Amino acid sequence: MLFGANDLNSTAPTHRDHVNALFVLHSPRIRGFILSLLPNMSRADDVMQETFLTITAKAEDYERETNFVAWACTIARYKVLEECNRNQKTSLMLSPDVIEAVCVSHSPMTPDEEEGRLAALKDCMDALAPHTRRAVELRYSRAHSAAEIAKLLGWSTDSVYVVLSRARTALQKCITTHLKAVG
Amino acid sequence: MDIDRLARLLDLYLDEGLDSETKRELEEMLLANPKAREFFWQRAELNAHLRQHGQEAWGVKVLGQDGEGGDKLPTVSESRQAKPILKWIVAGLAASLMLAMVGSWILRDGGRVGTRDQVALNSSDMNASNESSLDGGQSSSVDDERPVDGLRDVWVAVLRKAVDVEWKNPLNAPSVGEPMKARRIQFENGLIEIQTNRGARIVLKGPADLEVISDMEIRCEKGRLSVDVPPPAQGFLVHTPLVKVVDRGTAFAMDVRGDTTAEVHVIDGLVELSSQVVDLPMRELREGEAVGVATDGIFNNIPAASESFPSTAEINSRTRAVINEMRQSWKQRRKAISNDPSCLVYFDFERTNDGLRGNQDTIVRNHARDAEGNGNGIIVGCDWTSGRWTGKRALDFKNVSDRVLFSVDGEHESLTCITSIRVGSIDRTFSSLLMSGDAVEGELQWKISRTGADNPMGRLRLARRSAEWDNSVSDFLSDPVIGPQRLGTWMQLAFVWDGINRTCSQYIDGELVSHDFIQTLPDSSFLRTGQLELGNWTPRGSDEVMSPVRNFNGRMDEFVMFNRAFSQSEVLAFHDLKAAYWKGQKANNWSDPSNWFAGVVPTRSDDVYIDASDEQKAVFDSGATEVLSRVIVGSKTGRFGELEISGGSLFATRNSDRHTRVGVAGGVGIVTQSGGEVDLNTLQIGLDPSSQGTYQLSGGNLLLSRGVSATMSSLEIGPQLGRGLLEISGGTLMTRRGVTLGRDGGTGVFFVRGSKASRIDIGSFRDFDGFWVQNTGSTLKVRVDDEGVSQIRVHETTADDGANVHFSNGALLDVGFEATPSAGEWDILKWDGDLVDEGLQFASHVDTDVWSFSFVDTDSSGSPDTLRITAQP
Repeated sequence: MLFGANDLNSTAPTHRDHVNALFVLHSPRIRGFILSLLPNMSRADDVMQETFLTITAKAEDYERETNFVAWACTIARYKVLEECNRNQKTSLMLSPDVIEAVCVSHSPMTPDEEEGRLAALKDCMDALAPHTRRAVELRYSRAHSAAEIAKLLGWSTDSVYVVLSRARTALQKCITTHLKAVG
Repeated sequence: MDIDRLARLLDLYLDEGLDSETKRELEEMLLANPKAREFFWQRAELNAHLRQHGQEAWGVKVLGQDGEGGDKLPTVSESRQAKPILKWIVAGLAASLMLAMVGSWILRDGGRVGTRDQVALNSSDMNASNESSLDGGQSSSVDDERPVDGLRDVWVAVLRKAVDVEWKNPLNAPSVGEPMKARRIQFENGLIEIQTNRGARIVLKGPADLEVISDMEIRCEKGRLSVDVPPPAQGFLVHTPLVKVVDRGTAFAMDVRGDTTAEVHVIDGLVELSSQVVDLPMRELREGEAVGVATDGIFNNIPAASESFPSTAEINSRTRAVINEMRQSWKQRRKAISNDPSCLVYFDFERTNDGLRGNQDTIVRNHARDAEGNGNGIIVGCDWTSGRWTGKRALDFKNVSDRVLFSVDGEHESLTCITSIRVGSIDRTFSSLLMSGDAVEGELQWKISRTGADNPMGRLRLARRSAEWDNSVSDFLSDPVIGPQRLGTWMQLAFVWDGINRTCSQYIDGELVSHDFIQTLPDSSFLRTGQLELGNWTPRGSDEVMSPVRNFNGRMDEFVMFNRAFSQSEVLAFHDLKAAYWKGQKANNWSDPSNWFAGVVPTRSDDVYIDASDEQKAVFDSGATEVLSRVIVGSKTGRFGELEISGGSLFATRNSDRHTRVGVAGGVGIVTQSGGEVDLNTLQIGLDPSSQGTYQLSGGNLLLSRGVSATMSSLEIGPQLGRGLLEISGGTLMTRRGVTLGRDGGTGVFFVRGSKASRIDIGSFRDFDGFWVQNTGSTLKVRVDDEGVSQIRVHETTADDGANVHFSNGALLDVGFEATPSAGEWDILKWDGDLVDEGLQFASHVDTDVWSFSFVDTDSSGSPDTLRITAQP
């Protein structure tokens, strides 16, 4: 391979590069934040992309050494509220004042914390009963709605809600226990 | 605070199940209590983690759900699952701009996908059906999962084009025009274009191994690709083993070679690179810049060469060339069909130059030779439109009155009908293909049916009226195989009514989709034609008719009817315009059209398949073939093919990346060449598990004029768990590149029998050096005759240190006498380059008291250049 000289240092990263790199680093938390306020996965995806574009465009506004996730989540929150205004009649999103209220008490996890929780989640998933796990996978891997899962599995929609809710309660308990055990 | 109630409401919220009442209740709780807001975040973060985990586990089969994409190969996702969680997190970050979200595209009835002028080439998930119902109404047997599966699925991309592609697993290959879910795509060679739902367009050249993860993310293990990213797909992500590329509004090209090297060339805009191997800062790469990455993961600037990568222009031009070839093949086949005495009706929907000119728009001519102008079709309604390729005409059926009327008299013990259609939508319970309304015994109705239970999937359905006096019909149904993803792609449908063997079969694109026994009385197993319609139905019998409106919505560009039963191979041959299939019906001469299915001798750029019993071997003895793509002898498990070449010239060099194969995919193949000229790109003998291939060269010339890539051999014997034998007892063998004996678990034998072969020259043709690679368990076999033994020469043609010889530990040497044993020494293999001998050894049955071998330095260059065997009987 005819590689030339290594010129890693020839292009110093710009401020925007720095911001983009931070976005990459923290994107799971930013995505999680958006999904919390906008449970529809495909719309959350759209808002995530809009957030990325806005952050790239407004990179200069970000001051180094300040809390990036908080800054990014502020932008994301605006994007969610815009989405909320576009779809005022839906009961699937919280009202704008409630969104504002819950955001006040939002404190993002650190990457380490998150890593631990994800690892625990993976172990806990294995402990779910097969039918529960299947419902969870259809919901989260394949982004099916409860009604679609009901159709696929031959259950009623209400029982899908119940199964998913129980699964979350069980997983939350399991993760807490797991993390305590790890210390 | 009722925490259980809060949890329940939050979960409803996260599952999009709130109504206005429960929403109000939840919001009141959240506003009233800080603890509730804290709990909100706990639950929401779990939800986000579940989604992240779910997306990363993407591609892993949902438990217990069968028939999902049918991908039995381990996906990259699956293999990634085995890696430690930390890697996962890194991958999660990698998936960074996790725009990588799953484009969820709901396909509904009537949704159209894909390019208009492409032919869908296969239908991997079709199953034969044994189902038969006699009620003429609703089907009794329904697959529970299928309909729902088809109703909503996560399609992330569509295969827009595929040119000369040789899929690694043809049964699981994607079809052109069909939307695809997240999946792995592997092919040996050829060129494809994929477009994701976000609009990112990827042109990929084989050999390639790519996983489409979502509409914003792919993973490439191997291949040369160019990626064009429009604004909606900004942030598009390409993972490779060494480097991750994030698009920032660009076009870029990559060459990925597993975990050894990767190159990134920016054609337009800029991209961001992150090393997957070492901890480096993100690197930005701009238009006209290029970077190479080796195993150390460091970015090195290299000269930009984006023009050498596959492009949309290249795939378009190759597509045009292929279409041109298909059109030529089709014209030849058209001639054969017209001249077939069993052909009753042939509508090609093309313009004619005869007396019908004035009525071009309302009459479709019957080209069957024996029709003598009878049986022309009368077009009612319908618009003219384009067919399978540019320039091909087709009829568009849309309106409830659109139809083609024609008549064919008679009762037929056997009947075959084949039509090429593009379904626009399946609007009704029955979409008519070919219908009779005569209401007499034996009346036929061929249609696509879609019952409520199958929705939105359609079945191919042939019905035969059992008796004139009542409404009872025999139904022959396929599984529900015509799914929404088939809409808008061209398909070839066929039914074969075989009254002699009393079977009824239906096919889609040459694949059997239903096969049933005809359960009528022996003397009434006929079909009756009479007044017929294409694309619609006019009931003329009883007044009480179920679903009287049965018009077809779509296009048709060919329809043909024969009064004999086609075999499965014949139907397949009819479908596949780029291939010729040996039939071996009449003696065994290659150049006799009746020896080939569809009655056409192989033409330019055809893939030629020779599978038949040993009485029906193909004999090629004179003349010259057109330049074929390749020849496959013994092509599948349970198949045996034999080709004898005794004269003439056979060329199979049309597409540079096509290999001629003898014994492949479990088949057994034999080629004997005693004369003539054979010019092939490359030759693989005995490829794949349980395949066996033999090529016996006793006269004439065999030239292998290509090797696919720098490391690719011109001749492979026993690759990929196969078993192969090349036996040379005369004639000449010349190759452009090297020879590999046994690869990836296979074994090969290179047998030089006596001294009659005048040349065995490896790497002497044109540029490139030869090489000799002999792996463990593979054998170099020689038999010495009275004159000695022909020598194998490995040539250096360039000055770049090639022409090397490599014997793995356990490579075998089998020596002996063809004639009377005598003492002597013979130089059996000679090379210009270097020798690596890890342990060449005699085969177990060689008498080592008589035989010995040595590596000899004959030119005193200081390194051995000859393999010499010595006998002292």
